[in-house]
Amino acid sequence: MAELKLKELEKKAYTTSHEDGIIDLMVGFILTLAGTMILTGQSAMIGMIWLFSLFIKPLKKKITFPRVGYVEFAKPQKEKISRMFIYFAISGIIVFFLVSSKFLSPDIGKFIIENFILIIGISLGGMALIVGRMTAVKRWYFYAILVLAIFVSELNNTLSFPYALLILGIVMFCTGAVLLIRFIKKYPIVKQDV
Amino acid sequence: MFKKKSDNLDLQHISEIDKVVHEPARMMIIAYLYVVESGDFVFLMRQTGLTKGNLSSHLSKLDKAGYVEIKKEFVEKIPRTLISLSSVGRKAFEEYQEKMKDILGKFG
Repeated sequence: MAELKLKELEKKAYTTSHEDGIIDLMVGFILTLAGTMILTGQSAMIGMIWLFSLFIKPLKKKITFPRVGYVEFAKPQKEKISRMFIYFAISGIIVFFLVSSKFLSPDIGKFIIENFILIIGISLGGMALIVGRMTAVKRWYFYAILVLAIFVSELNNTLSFPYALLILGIVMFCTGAVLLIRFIKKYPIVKQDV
Repeated sequence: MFKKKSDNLDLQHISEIDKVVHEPARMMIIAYLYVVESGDFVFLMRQTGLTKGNLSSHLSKLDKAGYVEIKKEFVEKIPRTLISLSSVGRKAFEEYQEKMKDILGKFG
């Protein structure tokens, strides 16, 4: 029982630092930009937009830490996050080999190529689900459902890929912006003069 | 109706409880530091809901007891007080939990 409550404390400490919505804001911005680039025919530059994710850490330093403080988590939490990234990497490699493998039967290969967008949707949804599970930030479950819903609608040709990215990006960006405003109001800056 | 001598002896363990840990505000501070590696002053203030003065006073008591390690540093010219639980503090908190479980168990 005592151990369970200490875990709750760790979870609370961890989720407080994610109340700022900065990650949502940046991921939303990147997806919106990617969608816009595809729509305007500037897809060649799309590989560069991940660079915007480098702004997350400085923003956290400038906005989050002066308000809710800085915390270093114990090894199990760090290992959990590293494990999460290893899972992502392994899943990506498996998908890559599945698609490119010459041992794949032509039917499966054809299915993958035809439903590539859906597979991207499932992968993105799966990632959001894992992030939600690992960080205990529940809104990522909502993003996972939203990703799946948007990309499944792609199957019926009701929505094209760039618009799917745009919708997802705008939803995440707006959620992040609302969370950030709320966070700034809730936690004014505390000066450390001790 | 009279309690056995051995029961009285068992209850005497209550007086052995670590009073530095037993105080609610300090217990909160220790519990948070127990689950993280280290945190700064603002982190503890936000999580525990204690005021600056209150937190500062409890931290100095914990520091005096050797339960916490306080490191003052500057990060990009901004002062930061990083606090972590010492091995003595960690052990004291674990012992406190064990003792409390034991004592509360005796009350049924």
